[in-house]
Amino acid sequence: MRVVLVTLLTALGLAAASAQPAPFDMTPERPAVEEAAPVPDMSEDDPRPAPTEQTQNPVPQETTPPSDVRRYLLPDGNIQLFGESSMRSWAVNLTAAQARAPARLHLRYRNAVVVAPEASRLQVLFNDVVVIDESTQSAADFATLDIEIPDDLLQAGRNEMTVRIRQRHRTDCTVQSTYELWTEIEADGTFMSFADPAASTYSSFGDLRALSADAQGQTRITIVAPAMDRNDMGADILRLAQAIALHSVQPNLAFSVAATFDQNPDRQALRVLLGSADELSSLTESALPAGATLGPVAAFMAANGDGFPTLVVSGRNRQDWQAAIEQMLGPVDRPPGTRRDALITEPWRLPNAPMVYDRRSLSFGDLGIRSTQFSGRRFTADFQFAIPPDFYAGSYGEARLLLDAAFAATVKPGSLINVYVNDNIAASLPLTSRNGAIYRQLPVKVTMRHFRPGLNQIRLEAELLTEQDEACLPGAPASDTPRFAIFDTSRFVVPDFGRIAQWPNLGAIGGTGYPYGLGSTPVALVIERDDPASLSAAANVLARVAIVSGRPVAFTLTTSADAAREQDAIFVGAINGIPAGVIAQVGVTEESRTAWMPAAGRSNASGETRVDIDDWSQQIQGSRFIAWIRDVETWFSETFGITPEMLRFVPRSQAAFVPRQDDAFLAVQGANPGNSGVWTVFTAPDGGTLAKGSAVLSKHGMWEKLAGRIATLKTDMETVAIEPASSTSFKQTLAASFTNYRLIAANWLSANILSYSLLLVLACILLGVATSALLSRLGRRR
Amino acid sequence: MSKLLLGLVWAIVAACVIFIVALPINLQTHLIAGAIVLTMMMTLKLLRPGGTWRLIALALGTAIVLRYVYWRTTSTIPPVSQLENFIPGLLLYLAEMYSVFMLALSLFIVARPLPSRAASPIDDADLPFVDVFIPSYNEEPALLADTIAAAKAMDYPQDRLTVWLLDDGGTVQKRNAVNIIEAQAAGERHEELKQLCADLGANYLTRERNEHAKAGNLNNGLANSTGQLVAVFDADHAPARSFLRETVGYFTEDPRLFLVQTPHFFLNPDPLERNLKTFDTMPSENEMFYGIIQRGLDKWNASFFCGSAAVLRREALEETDGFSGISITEDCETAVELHSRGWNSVYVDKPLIAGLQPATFASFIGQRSRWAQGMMQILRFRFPPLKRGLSLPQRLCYMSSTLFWLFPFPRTIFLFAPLFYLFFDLQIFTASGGEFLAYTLSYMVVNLMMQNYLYGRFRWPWISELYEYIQTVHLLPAVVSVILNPRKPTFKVTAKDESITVSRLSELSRPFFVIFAVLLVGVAVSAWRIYAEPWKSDVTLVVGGWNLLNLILAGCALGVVSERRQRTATRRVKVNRRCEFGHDGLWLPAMIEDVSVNGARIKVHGRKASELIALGQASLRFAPLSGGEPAVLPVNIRNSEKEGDGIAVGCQYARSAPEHHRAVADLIFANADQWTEFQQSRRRNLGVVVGTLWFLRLALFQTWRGLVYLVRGSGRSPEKTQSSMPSGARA
Repeated sequence: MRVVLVTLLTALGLAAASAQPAPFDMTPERPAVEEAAPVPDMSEDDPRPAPTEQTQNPVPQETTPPSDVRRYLLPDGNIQLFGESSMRSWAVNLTAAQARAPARLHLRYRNAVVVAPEASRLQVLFNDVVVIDESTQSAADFATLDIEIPDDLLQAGRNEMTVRIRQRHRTDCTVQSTYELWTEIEADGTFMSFADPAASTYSSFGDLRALSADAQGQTRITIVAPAMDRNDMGADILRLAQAIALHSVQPNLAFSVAATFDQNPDRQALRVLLGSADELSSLTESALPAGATLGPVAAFMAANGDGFPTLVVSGRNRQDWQAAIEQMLGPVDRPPGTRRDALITEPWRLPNAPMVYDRRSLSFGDLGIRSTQFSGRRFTADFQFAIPPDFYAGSYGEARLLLDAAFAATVKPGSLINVYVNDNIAASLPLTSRNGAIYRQLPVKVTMRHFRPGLNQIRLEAELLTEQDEACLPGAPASDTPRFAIFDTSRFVVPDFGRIAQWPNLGAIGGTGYPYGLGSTPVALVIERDDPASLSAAANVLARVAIVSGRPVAFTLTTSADAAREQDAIFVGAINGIPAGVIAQVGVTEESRTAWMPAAGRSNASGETRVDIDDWSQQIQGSRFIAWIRDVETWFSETFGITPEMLRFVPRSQAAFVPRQDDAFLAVQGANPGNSGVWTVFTAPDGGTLAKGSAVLSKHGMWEKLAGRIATLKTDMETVAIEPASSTSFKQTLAASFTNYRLIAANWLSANILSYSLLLVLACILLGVATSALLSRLGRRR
Repeated sequence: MSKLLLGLVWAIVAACVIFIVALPINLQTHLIAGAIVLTMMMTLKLLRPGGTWRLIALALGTAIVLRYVYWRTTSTIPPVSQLENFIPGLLLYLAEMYSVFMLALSLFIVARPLPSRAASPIDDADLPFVDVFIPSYNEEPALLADTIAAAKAMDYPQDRLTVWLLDDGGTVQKRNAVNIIEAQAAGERHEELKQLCADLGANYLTRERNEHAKAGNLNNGLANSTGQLVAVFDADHAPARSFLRETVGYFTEDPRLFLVQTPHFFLNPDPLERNLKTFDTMPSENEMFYGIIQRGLDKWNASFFCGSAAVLRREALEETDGFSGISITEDCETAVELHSRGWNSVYVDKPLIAGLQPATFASFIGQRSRWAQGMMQILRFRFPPLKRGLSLPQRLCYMSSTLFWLFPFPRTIFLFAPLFYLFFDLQIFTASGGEFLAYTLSYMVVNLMMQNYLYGRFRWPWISELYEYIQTVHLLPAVVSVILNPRKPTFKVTAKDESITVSRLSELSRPFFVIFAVLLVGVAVSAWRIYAEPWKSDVTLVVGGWNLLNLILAGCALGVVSERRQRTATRRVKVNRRCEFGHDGLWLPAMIEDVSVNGARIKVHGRKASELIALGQASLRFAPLSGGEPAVLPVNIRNSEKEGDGIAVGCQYARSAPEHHRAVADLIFANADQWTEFQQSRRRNLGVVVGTLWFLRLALFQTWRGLVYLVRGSGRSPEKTQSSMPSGARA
């Protein structure tokens, strides 16, 4: 277990270190989720004076008094903000003690050399109040800011934190040059420090939401159950893990389950003790919370043993601690079958993603994009939304953006608004008029091809060309004249779309935990009993499924596959621990039990940027004519991209999957033997890789990559490869309705073009015959 | 019962097709399915199967058209928030939907046109009494003489046939006109025609006042005659001998039959045919109507009266107090009224009359304006879709016939829509270049294929568009005016007997050149925009292509309005008939090769021929088809040339006596089969590809010709170029 964590830490450390030099990265055109965020409505305004004193001198982190209580602020590791303006908001939950205590904000950042300090600003806001407003000038090394947070600014419970950046290039005025602008905020140096030691302690289990990620963006939780060797506690541990996950909703949870304390514990966010009061008191010298000897209790220990917050879930006996777990689950459970308004993302991203179950129209204001005017070259704004797991409109569907936007007269035609769905280009709207334009509810069709169950992100990018930028006189990059504005009255409109569940489709479990999060009937969970590695892995998986489902997963623990024949089931275990016949049932060859030996140490975790010729060719512009030819080519392939795969009546039969050497962890989905439910298998060659792989894969950002039939995590613990499902079964999820069936048919036929053609031709032939028959009886015949 | 069941099955299948078509499938699927459907249609077309296969091909085409409609309706109309785009966008949409709707109506009508059928023969003793009405207003007596002679020569018991010349040019009102010269002319006409009728054995009838135009004239005829049946021939429509034999029989088969209509066959080209020189090779414009649409209407008992070349039942007409006269197309109006009263009609698909049509572009437009305005009046005053008594198919049929004349509106919109984008940058069609290409192109190709499938032998590709375009420019104001003032239009007699002695531009040609110039600027703008605005070149390419198509049409129209000089106004008909050539006892054997209304070309054998020719005058002697004594027709010799073992002689009739007219009528009008043959010779299906290429070549040449006429004509004063000669002086 420790080995796993150490390796992980090293890997992350390496990744962070290698990110140090200004990245010569050609890919940020499609930045990852955390990179680009939308736009400050006031970043163009005169910087308002920050309400507090600012310490400009870099304060070495070591000088912070060690007695201070630190609460790390970045939810998932370092944050990079790209482009001319970018923003990210998330929620920071504080305990009452933390909110009360005098607090200082520490922030460590650096920026690209090409960022012009005089025209660029970094702002940090708490609850919409600016606490940092700095010109960014830390190209050489990390700069540290240390600021006192005003007393009454922070509240117990939820606070909003926003980081906002405006960057301008020192010399260049091209759209291309905006990709060179970045500012990185380092997680390790960005935290709140509280002078009051009470700020480090939690009291009730409700304080679980104040858990924070560590400097690496991980929230490590150890569950210690002394009796796990003796009792069959697996089910309790896994329910507890879900309760903790649902209370804290952290992006990157990593559970490890053990029977005893680790003598040299890694840094961890939380330690949980589970067992009877007797068992636990022998484990620790510190006093258990009062009442543990009287009945069910779920509370924090008053003092942090070993410096970690420690939650005690206990009682006189097993019934008591089970009751305590149920007590914890009570507030976070949701009755099965109820709809959610939103997918909770606020611990790492505000606002929460609204759920779009069917026809829905959302204003940009609701989606977190404010009315903004912009004076740079490349404007970006993004928002997220969520769709249900039975989404079935990827082949035909079209959503629409109704844009309220304006281009200044200085903006040249040919400027573009590009729309990306999950980083895939979905629409491109050129400005066609010569004297600027005002768009009112201008419809932009956005294909649903790249929509996926669960969380989705749409990014708008406006590339603004002007004469001024072509001339690029000194000072031009920093000009403040607005060129583009977008208004929060713009809307995102999703029409009714086809809904039917499909399997195998890991995307459904990746998006919303479907079908395991439905909760109507308990899921069979098959693990190797009392194996800490399997339990840890199962805890990681179930915790993530619970978070994306928004409710705990009801399950029954079993070790036999036979019990799960007619059920939805999850299998977690090393490949040899998976019951016989299961992996073959889900379409993985049985030989993999012996043949799957990942090549250790071949990881590609050096953080080296992959060089791709396509990225180069996108950047390098040829002559105008060549560019035009290429435009035509791209246009044709984008518009009519017809692959031989589309012209198939019957999908290719799928050979059993053989894991490759560089596969470290597998998530596989298939139908159960009765074809009445879904089996999902999480497996790895050995227990260590299983725990580590499950922790990595259940991270936010990785879990959402699950799709298709098989997802494999490579040995670099970063790359996820997807094996698409060539044939799927369907399961009705809504009450039968004509409109839904119509949309389902539309999607299926859009994916099976020849079937559509055949159907159309057959119907026409029938119509011809019927017309002929009718005509020979109607009207005059002679 | 089986009908009902079958109707139900059909409705279910149709609903299935609509369901499949209206699935919101993606672009690729549409593209591939469209390509497959197109391939199937092409294959079917090449194999030319009939019956059910034809309907299957049409169903396939309909599916693609409906897919276009679905796409066009659901995803291309500009948002209402942009009114400057929305309004023209909606107009364009409505124009397209009108076209689709008209296509749907024509599909219904011509789904399975009735094949030709023969009337049952009747004993002479049982034949009904027939009055032949030849209404006239201002036609020349010579022309009337031919028509009357041909009518008299019809194969029918003479005691049961009465020919009436209904002269509206010599009414009491006209003879007493305030204008002395006009009054005198009317008086002379009155006397001359009276004499002519007496000579030819016809009845001359005129009336007090020129009320209700042609309908009033015909009603006056009805009031003064008693026959059970009434045959109506326009003054320039001469019937063949077999006319009554081919038509009267139907009336005894069906006592509720009010009309037997026959096609109008024209001996002279219309201006388009003349100026584009297509008369001998391409099917005439009206052949689509008479060749297939009337047959289709006949299937639904909705073929209607076209003003001439028809036989009607007096009993039916009396029920409606004669011919209706609210609109200026009394023919169709009368038919609507009688159909709604449960009377039936029959269409005979065989040309049994030969006539003249307007020769100049101006009179062509005048005629079409009357039709368009009249049909609008019928739509306004009778509104066939909701007229009680009509069956559903009849309503649809009349809807098609009347709504057709709204075509100037969509045609205008199609003409100018691309310019909205090219000149004003309005986005009236929200689609990417790719979608536009995939949907609109497949729709256009399918549309062309369906037209070709339905009318291929009768109408070549792009010719409908050309006819609509050349009419639109002047019909649009006419239709608008009748919509605003439905009672204003009055019946104007169409001049059909002009000849063009000088090559010139039509007096109505100016707008065509203006439009051509504007479209040409549009092409230049498209080229410039493709170069200067590469970011939207895909849309510009598509719209520019559309504009180019309009330009090609407009260019071809320049040729249509550039009137070609033509000496003989009427076509020569090949006859190959034995005769004798000579005079006074010297008769040489000869062969009449072809005849026209004015003259004939004969081939004479024998050494003495050149002597006769040298005289400059001679006679033709031949046995009339109607039997009886050999007819002698004096001719003036115009030219001659040696040809093999004989001499070919071109001669002009010198008609001075009634029997000469009878002889001419016998020569050209007696045999209807020769017209059928001539029509058949033009009825070839070029196919979409060859037809399009042919049209392209034609358009290029005609554009050039039009521009040459323009350059030449600009040197002359317009008054001089507008000399058209009245028909009496047929050169």
